[in-house]
Amino acid sequence: MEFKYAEEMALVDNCPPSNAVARETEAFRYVHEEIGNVRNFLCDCKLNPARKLAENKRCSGLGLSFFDSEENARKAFEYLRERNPKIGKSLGDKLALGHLRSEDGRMSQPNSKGHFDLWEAVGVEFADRFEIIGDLMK
Amino acid sequence: MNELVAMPLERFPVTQLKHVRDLIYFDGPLLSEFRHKNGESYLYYWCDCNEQANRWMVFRVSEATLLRLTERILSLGEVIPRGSRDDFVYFLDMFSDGSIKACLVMPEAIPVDYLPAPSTFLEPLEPSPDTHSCSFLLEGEWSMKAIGDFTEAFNGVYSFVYEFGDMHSQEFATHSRWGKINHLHFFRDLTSAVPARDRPYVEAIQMFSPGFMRFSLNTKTAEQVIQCVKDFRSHDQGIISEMYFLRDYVDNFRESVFEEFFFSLSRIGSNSIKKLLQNFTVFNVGRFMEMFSEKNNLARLVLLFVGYVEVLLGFERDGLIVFPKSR
Repeated sequence: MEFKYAEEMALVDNCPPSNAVARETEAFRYVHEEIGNVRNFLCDCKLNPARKLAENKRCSGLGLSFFDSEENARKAFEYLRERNPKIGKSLGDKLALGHLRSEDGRMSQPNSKGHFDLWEAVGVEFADRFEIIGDLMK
Repeated sequence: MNELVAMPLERFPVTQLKHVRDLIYFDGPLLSEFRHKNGESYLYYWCDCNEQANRWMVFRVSEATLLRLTERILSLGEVIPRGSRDDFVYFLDMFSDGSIKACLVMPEAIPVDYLPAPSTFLEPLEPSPDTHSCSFLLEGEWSMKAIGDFTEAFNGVYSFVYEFGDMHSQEFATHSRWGKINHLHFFRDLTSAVPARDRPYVEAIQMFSPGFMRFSLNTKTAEQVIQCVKDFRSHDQGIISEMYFLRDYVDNFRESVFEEFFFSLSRIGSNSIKKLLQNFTVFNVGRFMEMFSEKNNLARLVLLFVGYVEVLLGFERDGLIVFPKSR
């Protein structure tokens, strides 16, 4: 599988991690109000301006963040919002649902909070495949 | 972004800050620790953004406050911005072209929606192997003797774990000499066997309560030292009774043999050592036992090691030190 950010990934150890797999799953992602907003499906390393303070050596910075359930996504957002009230302006304040396919890339295993990363394959676009299902600020 | 009541600065006056670790992170940092070359700590707290810039609140914070934050003794609301060591905080608007607009803001002028909810805490943090340092929060009154006792015990456990813990088990073969040495010099030799780059040095110490002690060291080994203390805490009854048993065994044995320090390990003695060490998760006990010859002072060495761990735990039980719970 050829990755969208293969060049950058080559500079990070074990990226994607060896336990990342290609699979099919429903996925929830934080997005901005317009689903076509270019920021919605960019990994954080490619955002401009980036919320970045040091050279990012994290493999996860080259992947897209998703959650495995609406409940987990909302819980994690609330956790962040309590700590950084304006977080919705950075991550997006809407929740979108879509279906990830095995050819979309490699996915990490969801952690205890249901969060997982997807390292995208070349040519994958998500704007048309995700739909906003709710407001995270309510 | 919110309009700030601020005193504009020509530039951000603090230079040479080095990123230490991210304390809150989701698709990029949200709260990060930095350290100045003079050793002072700074927090960068993300507050806001627009299409051109991200806005960060930056302030100087004492290491003791930082430790109390990471140990979840203090909430985020108690530290941001009240933990600032200055009467002001910096706000930095960091633009995508790399330019920075800086200003000073008095804490009371910070918009309320830029502050964390009052009773929120950090999550347990992952160890940060890149930092090569480890800090402990000090509480109560510390005498000079207590500092000496603590550093000696810490150094003893650290060196023992560095050489014999599972992290360095691949190097066991190179240390066959450990089986032949006298316990009186063992810990001195053990300490000097740790490569200089990984040897623990006291980097900074502040004895006011709450104070802190910062070591430069190999952080993975430091994690294992802390794990030994946790293991002792979890299995203290079993460990203490096994220590007494082994101590009696050694004392009785000493009276009945010609050589004071070198003695054969009986099956009972070996089993007792194994049982004692099995309480500590950082050792591969089988491999540990293999590397010592039959004639040696292993029981004494293990007793010394466990005794040092007991000393460290004693500092915690006396309320003098807070070992990181988050690791």
